[in-house]
Amino acid sequence: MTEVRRFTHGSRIPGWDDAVDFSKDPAVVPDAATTPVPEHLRAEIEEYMARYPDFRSASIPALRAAQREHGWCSPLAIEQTACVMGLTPGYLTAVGTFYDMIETQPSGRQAIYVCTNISCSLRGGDAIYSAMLEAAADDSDLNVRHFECLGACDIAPMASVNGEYVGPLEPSDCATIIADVKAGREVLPDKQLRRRPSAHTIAKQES
Amino acid sequence: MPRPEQKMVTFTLDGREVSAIENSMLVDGAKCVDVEIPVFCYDAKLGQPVGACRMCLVEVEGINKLQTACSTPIREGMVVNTESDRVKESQRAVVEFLLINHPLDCPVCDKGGECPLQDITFGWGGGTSRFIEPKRHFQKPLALSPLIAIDRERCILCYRCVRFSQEVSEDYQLILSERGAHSFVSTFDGHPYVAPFSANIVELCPVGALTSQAYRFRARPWDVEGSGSICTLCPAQCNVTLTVRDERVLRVLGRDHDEVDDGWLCDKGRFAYQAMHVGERITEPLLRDGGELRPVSWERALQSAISGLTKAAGRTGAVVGGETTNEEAFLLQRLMREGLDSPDLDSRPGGALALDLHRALADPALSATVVDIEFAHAVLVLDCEPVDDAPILDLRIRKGVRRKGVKLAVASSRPSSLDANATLSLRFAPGAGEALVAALDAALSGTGDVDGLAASAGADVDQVRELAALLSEAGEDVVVLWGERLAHGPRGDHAVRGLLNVASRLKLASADGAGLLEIPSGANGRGLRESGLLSNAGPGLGEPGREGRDTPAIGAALAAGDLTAVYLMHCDPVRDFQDRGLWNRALSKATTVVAHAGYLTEGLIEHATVIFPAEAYAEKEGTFTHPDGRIQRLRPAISHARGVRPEWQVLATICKAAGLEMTFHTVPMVFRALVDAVPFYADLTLDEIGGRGMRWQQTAAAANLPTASDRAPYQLTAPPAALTPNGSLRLGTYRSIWAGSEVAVSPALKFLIPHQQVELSPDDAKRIGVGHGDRVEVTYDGAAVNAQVTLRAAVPTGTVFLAEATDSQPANLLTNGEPRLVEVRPA
Ligand code: SF4
Ligand code: SF4
Ligand code: FES
Ligand code: FES
Repeated sequence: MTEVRRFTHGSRIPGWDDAVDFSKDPAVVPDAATTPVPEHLRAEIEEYMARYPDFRSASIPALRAAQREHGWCSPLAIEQTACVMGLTPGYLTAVGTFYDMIETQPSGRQAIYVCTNISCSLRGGDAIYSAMLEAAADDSDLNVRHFECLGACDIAPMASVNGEYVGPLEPSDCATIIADVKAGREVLPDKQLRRRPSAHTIAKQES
Repeated sequence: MPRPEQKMVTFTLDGREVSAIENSMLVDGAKCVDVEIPVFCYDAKLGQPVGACRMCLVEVEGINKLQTACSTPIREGMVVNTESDRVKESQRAVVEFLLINHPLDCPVCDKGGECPLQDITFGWGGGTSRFIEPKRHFQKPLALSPLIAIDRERCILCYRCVRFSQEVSEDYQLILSERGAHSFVSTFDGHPYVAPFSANIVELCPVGALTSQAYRFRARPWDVEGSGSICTLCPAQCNVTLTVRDERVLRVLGRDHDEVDDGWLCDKGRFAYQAMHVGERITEPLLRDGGELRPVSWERALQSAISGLTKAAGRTGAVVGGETTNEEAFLLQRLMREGLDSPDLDSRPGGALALDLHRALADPALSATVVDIEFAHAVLVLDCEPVDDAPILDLRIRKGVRRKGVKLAVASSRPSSLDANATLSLRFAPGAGEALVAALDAALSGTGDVDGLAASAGADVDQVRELAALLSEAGEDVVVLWGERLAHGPRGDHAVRGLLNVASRLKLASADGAGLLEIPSGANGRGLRESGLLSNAGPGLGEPGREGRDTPAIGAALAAGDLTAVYLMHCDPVRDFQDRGLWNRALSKATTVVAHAGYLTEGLIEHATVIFPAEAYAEKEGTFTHPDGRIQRLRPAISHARGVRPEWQVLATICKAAGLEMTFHTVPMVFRALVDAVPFYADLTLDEIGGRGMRWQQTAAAANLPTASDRAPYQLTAPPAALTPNGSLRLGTYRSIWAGSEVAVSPALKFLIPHQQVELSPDDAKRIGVGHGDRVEVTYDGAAVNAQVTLRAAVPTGTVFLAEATDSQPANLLTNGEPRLVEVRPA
């Protein structure tokens, strides 16, 4: 296990020890006249908003869209989303910091989530996680994280690689996964959940 | 909307039969029989309970698990136990849990002595803790804003503060970041939490996590006293408790009044108490001597004022600002009318309104109350910005929309902060309110040229029609909240006639919960009018004897030399009124300018001959009349600053010198005389007004209101068409909540002093070739205002907005109360 990230005074949470910055203006709903938003991002967020009876329900997909655009949900990304949605950046920050898959700190674009929850950890998930970290070395493009149950305990220990569920994994798979990701190849085709003959009936028909 | 019927039911609480309102929450029902169920996260003011803290668990027969009393509605026959072992055990457990990471630094905590966490730990906690591990420690205190400090160690994550920000003031700047044990109260990316109502969270916080930067470490609860009064900084007149220590006001707290403020205060009301105890305050009489204002003795100041005024008898005017009490107003109008033979007096900055219309507007059947806003089917906010003009009403409107399903329509020139909550937001050209109400009247009545009138208003005709449909179809309870500015200017009468027509078409007089509610420009605007401070009406909206000049005419007459003296009660026309140029000329021409003022403002520094120090509101005794007719008492909380005398006595002294018989020894005696002079106040006594106020409309004497001779619907004349921008821009102005001396001199609020900025639409900015933050010059006929551009997408193209009463470059350099076209160019 890696060491838990600690901030001054023993705080493990970024932000606990931060005062506000008086040189900033209060974060009200960003004005469209002063907040340029890339046209395709605006269109995508508006499309999500149209899908729900309460447009605020689109916050998560909208933040994910902004995250794809900016690499992470930076303050700028949040402001742009807030501007399109007519919400305060605070509203979206509350949502964004609550959910794990919205990155409110700079992070690699390649999302590799290793499950270390009960089923997976019983079957060696922690070792997979260590191996994955080692394989990833210091590549800042790779976002390797341990994760709570991803709902695929039947292939424990498993990982989600850019959304592709793979498992059951051996520590030795990690180097392959990292190499596949770096090369932009499909990851471990033979261990992908959706290709397992035993999985969903429809998947079964397709395979 | 009919008020929800309250059905009483009986339930059993700790073996006792209790009758309570059905579906009210158990915690509230228990209070009926003095059973206190401890709570942290619950506060009825915040709306729906969230059940976040689990402190309020009780046993309800028939339900296996303990239930949260804050979110369990009372039903007939319910059997509730708050004292069983299971309940006590859970209470002890919750307290122990909350204290695990609580620093217990009560000796150095501001909340100590008035802290729910202390009280509940003492009352319901186990007294011991099994937790021996080290507690979490963080940097503290940290700034959350220049007004509020946060101590995250102390926070018990009850959500009250964020719920306030998100669901009451709806500024949504304060949030809980992260999740679970990592949660903490914060804002977006380190931005300060600055919003008009932010500091209510300090009062809401059940622990010492949120403290007021201005009050921190100034006093302990056991060495202060609370003194009830009302805030006089705006027409909302919120009820307050002043925290007093050693004759100094140290803090202002809400004194919850459902029918006035709903338990909230704005940050201006909460922090501007500091203005009472600053060096800038005038605390001794000043006299102009050799061109400069110098402190003099009271005798000398009074002598100079008296001789100046009596010399100018018959040629004196009086202009009054909103902080004047009814009693002072009553004395001043007597001084003017009877003592100085000068009928030229006014409390309306925008000029007179026909007496008949005053009477028609005051009709009790037509007047809406603050609570009506909350329960209306529809509310129309017309030509005002509640958050600037009477802040606390903004929260009431939001509450109505959010919790009661009120349909909100906004009709204003400047984009409104309520637009996001409105079903319909309509824009019209600045100053074209008359044409707008005429168009609305035509759309409602189905006769008249809606298209033409909407065009004259610079409004979209479809929107006018939609507004008419919304108001007529919403239900019978429609409240129109309108700003005095609608009636400003020479055509004010016409605008008000249009408004009364709209009211009559919507039959507002016949529904209980419907009506008009005016936000006057001055805090006691309504009281001043009813006490007789109008150019065309005596006390009680009676015939004035002799009609005099109104505010703009007084300015013009002074400038022309027809009047030679002026009495300025709590106002500086140069700063506060339209047409700065005129007032500068007027005041410099006057031989005597007597003023009552708390602070030296530009017009007074330049022109005043005698200045009497104004009392701070915490020093003052008297009555105010709320916009909805509620007479409220102002009670002195501290003694007068050394050198300051009660202003009513100053007026009485001058009255006496002017030959009036003055038999008053106390303010209540003046009040008595006022009540005798105002027929519809006849039933009021100070005892009955008490601490909660009383609406005169609810007394039998309300029938004594003189009736208007002419009634709506009136035949309207064609309103002037709004100016066409073609290249130049329509000028609109507004007055920020933060404008005013009290904010400017209060150390805590100084950072909010409004600086002039030009609000431009992106299209106009592009055409002119300027961008956000650029400096521009806004000019009219040689006069110019220099300011920074703020781009706002919601500003209608063709219009530009400037702020009034800013620290420099105020809008009244360019305005005279009539619609104007201005040029904007890069500076
Ligand atoms: S800061 Fe105070 S009001 Fe806000 S969540 Fe913490 S304890 Fe509750
Ligand atoms: S809303 Fe008005 S009356 Fe209420 S606290 Fe603020 S300034 Fe005072
Ligand atoms: S525990 Fe790993 S997928 Fe469920
Ligand atoms: S007061 Fe009931 S859960 Fe907090």
